[in-house]
Amino acid sequence: MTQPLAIDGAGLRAGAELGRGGQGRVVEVLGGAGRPAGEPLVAKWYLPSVDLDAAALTRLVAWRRSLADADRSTVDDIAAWPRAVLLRHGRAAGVLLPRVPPRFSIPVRLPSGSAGQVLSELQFLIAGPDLLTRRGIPDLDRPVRLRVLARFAAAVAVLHNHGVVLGDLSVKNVLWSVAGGEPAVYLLDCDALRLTGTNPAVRQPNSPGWDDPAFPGTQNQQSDRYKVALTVLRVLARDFHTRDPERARAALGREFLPLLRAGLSGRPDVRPAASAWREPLSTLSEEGM
Amino acid sequence: MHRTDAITTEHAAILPIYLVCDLSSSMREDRRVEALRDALTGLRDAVWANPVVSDCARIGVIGFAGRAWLCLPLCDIATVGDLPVLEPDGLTSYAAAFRLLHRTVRSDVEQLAADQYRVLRPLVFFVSDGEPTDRTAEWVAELAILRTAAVRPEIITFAIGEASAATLRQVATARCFVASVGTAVRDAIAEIGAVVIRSVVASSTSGQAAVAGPPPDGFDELDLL
Repeated sequence: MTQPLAIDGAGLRAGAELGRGGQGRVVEVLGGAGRPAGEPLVAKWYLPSVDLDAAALTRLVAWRRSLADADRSTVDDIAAWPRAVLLRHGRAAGVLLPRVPPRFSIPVRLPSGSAGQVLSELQFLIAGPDLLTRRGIPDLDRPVRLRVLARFAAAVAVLHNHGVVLGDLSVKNVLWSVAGGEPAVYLLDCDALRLTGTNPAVRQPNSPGWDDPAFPGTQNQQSDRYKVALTVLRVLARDFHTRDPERARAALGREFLPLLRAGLSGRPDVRPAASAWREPLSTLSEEGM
Repeated sequence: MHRTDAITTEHAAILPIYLVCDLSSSMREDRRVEALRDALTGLRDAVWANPVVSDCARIGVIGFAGRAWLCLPLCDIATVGDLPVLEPDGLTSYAAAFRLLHRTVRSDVEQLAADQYRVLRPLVFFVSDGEPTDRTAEWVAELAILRTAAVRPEIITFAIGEASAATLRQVATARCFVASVGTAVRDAIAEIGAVVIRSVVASSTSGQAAVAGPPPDGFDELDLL
């Protein structure tokens, strides 16, 4: 049976609320009719104030279904891609998303004494050693950070090759993991991604501090390239704010610093593609071992 | 920011955030102070789980009754081992609260600027469960000083218990939430804690004071004048 692109949210059995934000709330899906079987899912319900483009959201769902099995599997490994549009009273009001795989969580003991799980967000990769030490969170050495960055660049490259624009990038919507050997990266908020030449389902303004000065009002693959370079810089410099490529000189060396400079250039045409980062970052991570 | 060459330097920006809490004697009832303490504990956990907040924001707590006092000076709350004891006292002086808030904001901002930080417009969460007991002219004058100061904080107000919606609407600059009839005050305080957490994390991630989303559960929102 062909899975419908949109399903009635009323048929879902909702579990705990997992999160709430400016756009809406996310609840666990325990079961229910019409949902794609075989994977843990969550439902994201938008606030009425969110201007949701139902056609664009449906396009995202349909696009993933149209991929060859191997490509779909690759995309699913790196991105929380929408599985189905959720309807409320017959209107698009939410989206069914895969639940974040467990490897992208860090077990923590909170100051209140309770044990918990936090998502291993990009912010933990940028945070300086003092911020991590205070929290008892183990720091990663530079070769491992470089390998995570290589995976991140590769993930963006996969999506770019498919004509996808990431748009907004923030310290909370990129997850990473080094559990179980090979580093992995997982992108959240994929309901706000768009396919080149089409509008996004949900408008996602640039997170200030992550904006591309060359494209203040728009997002495209060239601004994604800038944000990839900014991520490389900030993860290596351990600084949430810097835009100064010199801060990564020690990590990148004379050979690859020009790549970062080009990536952060105000001239979009000279910025390297996301795929251009993969080899240098891998090479550097091996040198540092 | 519209430049064609690469931007290479950006000073770290800090968002000062203040919780200004009514600690009048009515807060002793119905486990209200305990709810407030739980909310602070939850806030500390949330900041702990978000190092970006430690990097970008500082949080301070002011209590007020017949007087106002600094419960927790502006700090990275994730690193606070012992949270302050919140001890209610008599009366409800908004004038004292506004006066101390004004002075605290001014000196904190000066200190941060002296430490080479770029300081963002401070964000204040003002929670009250009662009407001011000082003369209207007095607290209105102190509010005017706060709202016309060189650094004017963005103020979000929450009216719970016996607090008057009309009064807190006058105090707010950004948003004013009023607990619905039938919402237990301690539950309302827990909801306020959740809103503060969401706002603090969103503001730190976005780099600007943000209270996004609908009113918290059990609250209605009033339009500001």
